[in-house]
Amino acid sequence: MTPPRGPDASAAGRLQRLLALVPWVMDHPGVTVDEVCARFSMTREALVADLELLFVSGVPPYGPGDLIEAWLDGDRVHIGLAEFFARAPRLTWREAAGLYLAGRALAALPEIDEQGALPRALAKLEMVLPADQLAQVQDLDRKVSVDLDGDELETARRTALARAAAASRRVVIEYYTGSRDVLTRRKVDPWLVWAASGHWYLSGWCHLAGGERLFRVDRVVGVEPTDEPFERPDGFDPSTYGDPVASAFTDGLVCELDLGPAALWAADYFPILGSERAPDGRLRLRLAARELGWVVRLVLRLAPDAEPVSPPELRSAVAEAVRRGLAVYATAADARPGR
Amino acid sequence: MRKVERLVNLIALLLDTRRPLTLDEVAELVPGYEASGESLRRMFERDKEELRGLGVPVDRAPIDAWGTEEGYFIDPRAYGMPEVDLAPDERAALALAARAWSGTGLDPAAVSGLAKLDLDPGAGPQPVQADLHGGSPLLASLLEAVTARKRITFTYRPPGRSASLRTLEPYALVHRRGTWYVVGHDADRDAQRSFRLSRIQSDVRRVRPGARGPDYEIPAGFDPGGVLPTAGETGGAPVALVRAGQPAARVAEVRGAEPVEPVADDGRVTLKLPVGDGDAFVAWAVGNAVEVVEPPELRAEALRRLHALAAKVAP
Repeated sequence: MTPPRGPDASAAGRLQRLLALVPWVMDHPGVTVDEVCARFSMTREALVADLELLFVSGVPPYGPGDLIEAWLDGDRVHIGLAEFFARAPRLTWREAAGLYLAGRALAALPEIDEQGALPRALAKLEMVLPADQLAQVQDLDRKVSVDLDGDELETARRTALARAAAASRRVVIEYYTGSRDVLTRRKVDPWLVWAASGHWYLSGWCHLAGGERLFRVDRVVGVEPTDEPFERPDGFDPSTYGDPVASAFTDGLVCELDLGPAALWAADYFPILGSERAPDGRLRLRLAARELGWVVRLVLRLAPDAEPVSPPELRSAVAEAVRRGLAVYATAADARPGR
Repeated sequence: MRKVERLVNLIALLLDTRRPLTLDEVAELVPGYEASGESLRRMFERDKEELRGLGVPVDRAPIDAWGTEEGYFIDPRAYGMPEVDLAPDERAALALAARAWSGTGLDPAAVSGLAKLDLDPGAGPQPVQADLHGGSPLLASLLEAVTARKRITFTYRPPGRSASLRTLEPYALVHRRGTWYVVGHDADRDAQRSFRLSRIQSDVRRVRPGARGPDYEIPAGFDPGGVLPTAGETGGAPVALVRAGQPAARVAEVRGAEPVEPVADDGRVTLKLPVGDGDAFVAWAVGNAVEVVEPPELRAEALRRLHALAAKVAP
């Protein structure tokens, strides 16, 4: 859901950034280029261009003393003579609504609520919003329902992982790998607990694998906290953790499945390479998977409304999984076909 | 970027002025207003509208005792973000909320919102991170429609069917399992419906764009939280008996299953667990080589699915 940006949107975005940047720099005298660029997610070139624009701006008659002081002093950013821009504009309705709605949704999570900071911050925010804006935002809060918690059965384990991540303490987890049907115990440095595409994930350093690993929280069957501190790698940036589901389906083995009506939801649920409607009404789906075992499990979960089409090894792997699935019933009389 | 320069100078002038300025004065003082007459007025109105969108309120006031002519100004008290006395942990928590709304792709609007409250986007380790895709223009227009109670139309493609134009009175927006839905009264079906935002294939347009005031009332007692099931609800489910391998059994145990017998000779564990949604339960059992022992109808369903799939993949 990336917004399309026309030239107007970028002009508005630049103006919005400028109006916030000027007072921020004036409030932080001696701030460096890198600090400004990091805070405003901008490049050095964009900052220099903004300073050049400000340098020729000001109030009539635009003589010396009327124009804004804006320049680089070595590595430091200087902005002055802009008293009219001493404060940033108020939050727009959209900014206030987003902050408030996301804040309320997060505050409903036990690991956030128990820290207490977010509820206090939201109360202070309510006090500075203009009355009409506050009324609008609170009205919207009653019309928007966000459930980040998700499956309550995994709340306790996610909360334990989130506490360890916030305190930078190692954990020992017991983890289920579905595609291989195995349980392992691993010591992990929990760098980040995050939600994407309706699932909670844990990213961190896995001491068993000796590398960075991604875990799905609903497959973490046990969490033991430890007192061992850890440090995140230099330059660790939480914002680089996007959607693992999207990236997991963009490369790997290309598989084709035919979906019947009851399985069509899968075409929306997973990012796929493509689909086309067959004459018999079924949907032929193409998807890429890093592990064949994952697709086999998907076919079984959708059974009998998904049929593996290609590659041949997918068909034989599904056939083998069905044999195993039937074998668990084998001792019983009702397991034979035709009943 | 002539426009950005013009707007920066316009805001500076209107904030700095001691008295309201007429449009002609503004045009004379701010470089970039080369137009005159009606086209100047239109240009200025567009600029004012743009500033309003950025949270910059341009006010009007009569400039003489007779009120024949009006001037423009920006009230610095209405313009400026008030000081918010936030402790460092409160700043970090609000920064987390701002990032959860805008997601990982920080657009200029989100960045400026953070700066207005002096929130550091890179503040220390946080318990969690989430992404509500708040920067989506589709979500923004639906939030506006829900707030103003405006009837809307859009093109919608239900799964496995062709797209069609729908008319909706949107009551609420609901976010479940990483997905946004808009819920409201579907005017064509005359019933309450929910629509997944990812299946909306057009812009959202207002049915009566020029109309003032709301187009409809939201029924009393409507609760957005109760419209769509939250994850993990089992809803008074019957109990099933299953036999599972030990790894799958451990996962089932943390999800509420109870072992009822010691581990069998073949290494399998017999568990009692709530069924919840029967269809999803059988899918889980079939997908994990778990034997459904009871109830008989779900056991039969699991076997039916396995046999049907076996017939499809038979060599």
